[in-house]
Amino acid sequence: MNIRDHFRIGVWENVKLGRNATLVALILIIGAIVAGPYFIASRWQHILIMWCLWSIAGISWLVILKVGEFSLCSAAFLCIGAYSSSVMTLKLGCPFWPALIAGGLISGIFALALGVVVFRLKGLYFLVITYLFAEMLRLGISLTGYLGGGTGLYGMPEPGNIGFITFSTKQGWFYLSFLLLLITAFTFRRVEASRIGRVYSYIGMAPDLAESLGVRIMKYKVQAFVLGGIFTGLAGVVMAHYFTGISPESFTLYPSLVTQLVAILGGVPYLVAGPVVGAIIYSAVDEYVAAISGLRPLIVGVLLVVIIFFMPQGIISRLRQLFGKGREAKS
Amino acid sequence: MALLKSTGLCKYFGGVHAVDEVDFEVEKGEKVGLIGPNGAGKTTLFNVITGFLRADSGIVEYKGNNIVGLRADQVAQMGIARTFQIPVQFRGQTVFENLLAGHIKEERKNFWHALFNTRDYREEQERARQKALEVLEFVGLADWKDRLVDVLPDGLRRFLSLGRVLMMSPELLLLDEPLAGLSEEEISALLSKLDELQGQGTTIFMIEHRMKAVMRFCPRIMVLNYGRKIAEGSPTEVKDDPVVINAYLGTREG
Repeated sequence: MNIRDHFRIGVWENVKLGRNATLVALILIIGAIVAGPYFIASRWQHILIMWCLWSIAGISWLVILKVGEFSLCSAAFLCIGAYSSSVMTLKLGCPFWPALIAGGLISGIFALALGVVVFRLKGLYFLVITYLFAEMLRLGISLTGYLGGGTGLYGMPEPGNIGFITFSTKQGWFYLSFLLLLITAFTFRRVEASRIGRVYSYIGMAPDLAESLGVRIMKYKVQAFVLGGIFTGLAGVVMAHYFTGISPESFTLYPSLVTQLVAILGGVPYLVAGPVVGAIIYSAVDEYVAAISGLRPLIVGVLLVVIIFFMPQGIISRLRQLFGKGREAKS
Repeated sequence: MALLKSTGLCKYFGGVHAVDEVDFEVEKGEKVGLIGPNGAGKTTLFNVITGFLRADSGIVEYKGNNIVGLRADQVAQMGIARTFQIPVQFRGQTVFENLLAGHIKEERKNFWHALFNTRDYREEQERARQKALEVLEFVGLADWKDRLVDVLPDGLRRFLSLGRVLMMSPELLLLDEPLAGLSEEEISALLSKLDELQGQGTTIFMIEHRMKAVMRFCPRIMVLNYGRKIAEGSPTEVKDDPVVINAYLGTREG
């Protein structure tokens, strides 16, 4: 027995938390989350907001990877969500909250329409066509005067205060993003733990075999795509109103790459935990690197190369290996 | 009425006639063997029947309904189960989870039930687990239940593939070389399982290269060569048929 085993057994397996202790811990954690934003610097508030939003988009991307396809259109879903709610609030005078829901739904509807077409293609062809869709959408918007053309839309209203939560400061945005992240995490945790996620993995792993068992591949692939579309769209809405301005330039290839980056950083075997871990690293690095703009793509690229080279299964898998709880332990 | 019947079935790949004007019938409860040299079109025939390939002409009737043009998953829904020549598995999942995959076509509770873990959904999943335990016992993989399928020995993968299709409660089993790579003991074990299934009313149609075993197991054999059916009959009839001997050994020169 080496030192690591002592650590593991000593700390995790011999300590039994009573029900009260668990409750106290839970209250402390919730308290920390609620009070936290008031005590930390504005810069870190921003990092935490971006952490939530990139986590949501990363999880949504990863669920599409789970059905075996590598998509390159997260930016398009962010874009659809952002533009839908911006147009609704700015041009139609709709309040923020219905616009938030609508942004997610419209993005989901686009995913449905796009999904039934693009899932006829596989592999590289799928990747390319999803990317082309994102680019077409971006160029289409920049040519449409009603949507602000190349300059974009500015001055999106912030939601009204809810009790002590104000959206004129970053605290409110943090609570909103964090709530969305919780909803996303709950949804996809259930997806992963239930038959739905199992079917997705079956399809991703061996599509012909799954089909021979009576699984309608197209249905489940489109379903995963729509799920991803809705949640990415919601993140897009929050981004647009948090930044109070969007332009076609916000939705280039870069945000699509970031959603993949956060998922791969954390580790693709973990549908929820992977992107959540990856996104906190990305958001922090990005915030401190963004100051030296111009270097941003370089540093993100280096980060990706290092991770893929040294821990291809991501950070979580690496940590579990270090503490002797790798996936192999399952067998 | 035959359970499965094809008339004038053709499948071409460019100029190659992979399946050429094949007519056959499989009666309910029968055990039929399909043999032929490599490249004879046996697997292609299975792929056409099960909807993985679309026939260029001809029809396949299952219980009197034409199933040409249906997708593979629709064919599976009708009660036709198939295994693959290479015993493909869902890697990274346990043996038990691999079995559960076979039950999906039986499950009716939709996305929302699964998402919110409703009582109906949980009951349905419980039934799937019960059935998987029975099947696990039947194919003799109980000791491997929670092991990853990646570590399962090759021989046992054939048993797992069989178990997975049994989860579908199929009426017709299309087995593509179920005995390939198995030892003598494993062959008799697998064949006795198949006999038991046939006793319960399952119809078995199998491609096989292990001649001794297939001749012993199937009372009726069909022979395919260059996409055409060249012989059909009892094992002894087929074995002594000069056309079949020619197909396997070639014509004697001079």
